[in-house]
Parts: sequence; structure tokens; C-alpha cells
Amino acid sequence: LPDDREQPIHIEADEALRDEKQGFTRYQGNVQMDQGSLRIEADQITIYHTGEEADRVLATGKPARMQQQPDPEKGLLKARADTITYVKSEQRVELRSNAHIEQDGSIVTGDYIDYFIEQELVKAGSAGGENASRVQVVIPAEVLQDEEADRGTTDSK
Amino acid sequence: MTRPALQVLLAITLVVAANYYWSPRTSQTVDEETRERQRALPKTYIEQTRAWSFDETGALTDILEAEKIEQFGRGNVSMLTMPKFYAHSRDDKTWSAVAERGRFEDHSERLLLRRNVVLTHDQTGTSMTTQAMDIELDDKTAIANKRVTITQGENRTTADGMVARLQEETITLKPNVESTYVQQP
Repeated sequence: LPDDREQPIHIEADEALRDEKQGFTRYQGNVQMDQGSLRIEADQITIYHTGEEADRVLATGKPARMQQQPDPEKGLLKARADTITYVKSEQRVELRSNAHIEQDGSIVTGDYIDYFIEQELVKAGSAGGENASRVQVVIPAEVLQDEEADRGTTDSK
Repeated sequence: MTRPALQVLLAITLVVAANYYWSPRTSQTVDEETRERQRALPKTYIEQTRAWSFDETGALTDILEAEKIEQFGRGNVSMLTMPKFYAHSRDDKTWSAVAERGRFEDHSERLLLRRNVVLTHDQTGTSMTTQAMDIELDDKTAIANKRVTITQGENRTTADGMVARLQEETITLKPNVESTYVQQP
């Protein structure tokens, strides 16, 4: 939701290691993180808290999963990847390795995906090299028709 | 053996037996209860105390203060009132711990802190509160097996156990870890 970024971040886990010198806390074992409608579930989540501000969250898993309701009128956005990095100050989510993101039936997959929450923008790419996977985008027919219908009404005005 | 000899022998036996069993109570003799009470009393009282510890290179390792220290002969133990403990890690980072009660065990080099225990990393401001924490002075670890709450600013983490490694400046928490990070405006 639009005010997700102002909500506190809640994390639950079996175990945590807090490093005062380097300013991070690493959570392990059934880790779940919530911030408003944003939820991340992973094997391990590391929060980097320089001073008191928790700004960067790194989640790893097989895979790590994320979901959010960016817009009340739209469906839930779901994403997964081996590594998910959430940079709160930039409201950006980086999905690395086996990246997959979907919303209302539209699916994007690739080696990496950057998701810009406020602009609701998705950038996907391939890592290049031999075993890189190409970017794949699936847009359901009805979504296409809705967009064409929207475009039709705007043209006739 | 003639009759008189037997009588003398009997008399000697009676005297020895009487001497063995009869211990006359005089004003000087301490009874067992009193001796036990004396043993329970502290050997030494010290008030407003401060003790420094140094390592083999002469570097300050920790400071222990207390409003009152009662030292007991038995078990080589000192009971502390309002203890304060400061640990220096290598690169001059310090931790400080306070509590209402403490017990210092000389033989095991352990400081047991009880009741409203607060351990603070003085540079980051992170503080840990619990009701019972044992500090191993040799390897500089602080262990709590009870509920512990860690706060830094408005951020807060709770867990049902903790081990803080003062030299490495790390804190391991488990089980049941829950954290809340509040967003700065």
C-alpha cells in the first residue's frame, strides 16, 4: 500500500545474530518480515541498521518469497528469487537469480528483476553468458483487451 | 588376676569413659548453632568499592564497582549490592552492566548479575535488559537464559535467551526472536 514505507518493520525468527561493530542483524530459521502489506519469507534475512535506521534488507532462500499490495485496486504482487534485496530509502526491490514476479496473471521471469514500488515499474534482464535465461513476459489476453479497450475510449474522445 | 587389680582396672575404664562422653559446657565453649551462624557471616564488609583488572600486558580489561561487597570465606564468594561492571574490548569499545544484586565467584571468574540487569554497548547505545545474566570474565561473554529485550533508539528485539561476546561485539539471540524497526520520519 502507498503508506507501507512508513510502517514499522516486524521480523520473527528462531534465531538472530546482531553485530554491533558492522551494524547488521542476521535472522535465521522460519524468518518472516512484514511492513504494512509487504511480506518477505526466507531462510535468512539480514537487516543493515546503520545507527538506528534499518534501511536495507537482504533475504536469501530456496527461494526467498515476497508479496505486496501496491495498489488497493489491483491484485497482490508476488515475487520470488534466490536473493531478494529491499532498499527502503529507494523503495526498490532487487530480485537476483531465478527471479519471478507476477500480478493479476501477468508474469515476468529472468535472471534479475528490479521492481520500483512507487512507480510500479518492473525491469528484467538476463545475466548473459552461456547458461543465462532469457527474459520472459506473459500477459493474459483479457489484460490485453482491457488495455486496448482503455486505449479505444481515449482515442474516440 | 587378683581382685584389687580388677577393681583398679574397672575404675580406670570408668574414668576414661566419663572423660570421653562428658563435655562440660562453660561460658567459653561455642555451641554448634553459634559456630554455624559465625560461618554464615561475611568475613569482610567493604563499602563504595571499585576494583580494576588488567591483562598480562597491563591493559585495563574491566572495572567492577559496588555500593557494598560482603566477602564470605566459605566458597570464596562475594555478594554485591548495586554492582556496576565495565568491560573494555581491544579497540577501546566498552560495555557496561548494572544490576541490583550481584555475586562474584572468584574460583570460576564469574560475575552473576540479578534483578533489573542492563548490559549496554556504550558506543552504539544498544542496551539489553533481563532479570538474570552471567558474565564469564575470562572469555568475556555475557549469557542470559531468560527473556531479554534489546533496544536501540526505538528499534526493539526480544528473545528467550542471549549470548553477548563482548570482544567480538556480537549478540546471539534464540529462541523466539521478534524485532520491530520503527521508520524514522
